[in-house]
Amino acid sequence: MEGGPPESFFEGKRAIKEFLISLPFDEKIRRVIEMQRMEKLLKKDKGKEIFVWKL
Amino acid sequence: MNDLIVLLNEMKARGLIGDYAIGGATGLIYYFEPIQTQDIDVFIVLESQGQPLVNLSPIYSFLAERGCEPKQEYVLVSGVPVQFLVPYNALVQDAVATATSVKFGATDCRVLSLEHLMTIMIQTGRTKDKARLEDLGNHPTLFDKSKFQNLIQRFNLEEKWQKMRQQIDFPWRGARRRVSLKVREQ
Repeated sequence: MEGGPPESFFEGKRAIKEFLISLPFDEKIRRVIEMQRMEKLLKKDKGKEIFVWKL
Repeated sequence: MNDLIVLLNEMKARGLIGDYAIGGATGLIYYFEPIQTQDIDVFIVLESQGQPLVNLSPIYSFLAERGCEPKQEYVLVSGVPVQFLVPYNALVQDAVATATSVKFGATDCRVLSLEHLMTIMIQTGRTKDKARLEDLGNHPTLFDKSKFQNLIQRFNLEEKWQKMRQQIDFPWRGARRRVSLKVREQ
């Protein structure tokens, strides 16, 4: 894509980020736990221990 | 996480600790977007603070009674790796003393202020701190700029901050982008 993605792409990205920022603390931590679950799933054979929190 | 907060509040109520505050990435998450992190940094104020030797054994005994096991540099609280840290310098002491009371679900807890977290990032100066500061700079409405600048001055971090600002794009990129979009729309 010449000149990079359109401005609407960055606006959309920013809107998602602002939505995430506006979430309550426990909802944000719920999403962190989801990220940890994904990481554990993807890296499970690499030997590094990945902790998945409990809400 | 909720188990940890309940435990911290109990430690405070029993007088095992004077106070506590959540810092690090978990503290930042309260103000910002969810970010990948592995452990929770908890700063604890001990009644004995100011004395040359800090005795953490009553805290570790209490945690052991509650089934929390030490693992590497962490203590596992309901499977969550937690680092209990004693405020190690004047900036962190100030950060804990002025921490904000916030809600985690229905439970109250204390989190370092965003401006303190940002100033600690300057002091620590790791690559991930620089990246986080740059990211925060794109959201200037989230923090109190004069409070942030005041902390930088109070804790003699102006020089470090100036050097860091040459390496990162802070804080006006977001503002510039908004202005240029407006100009284009007109």
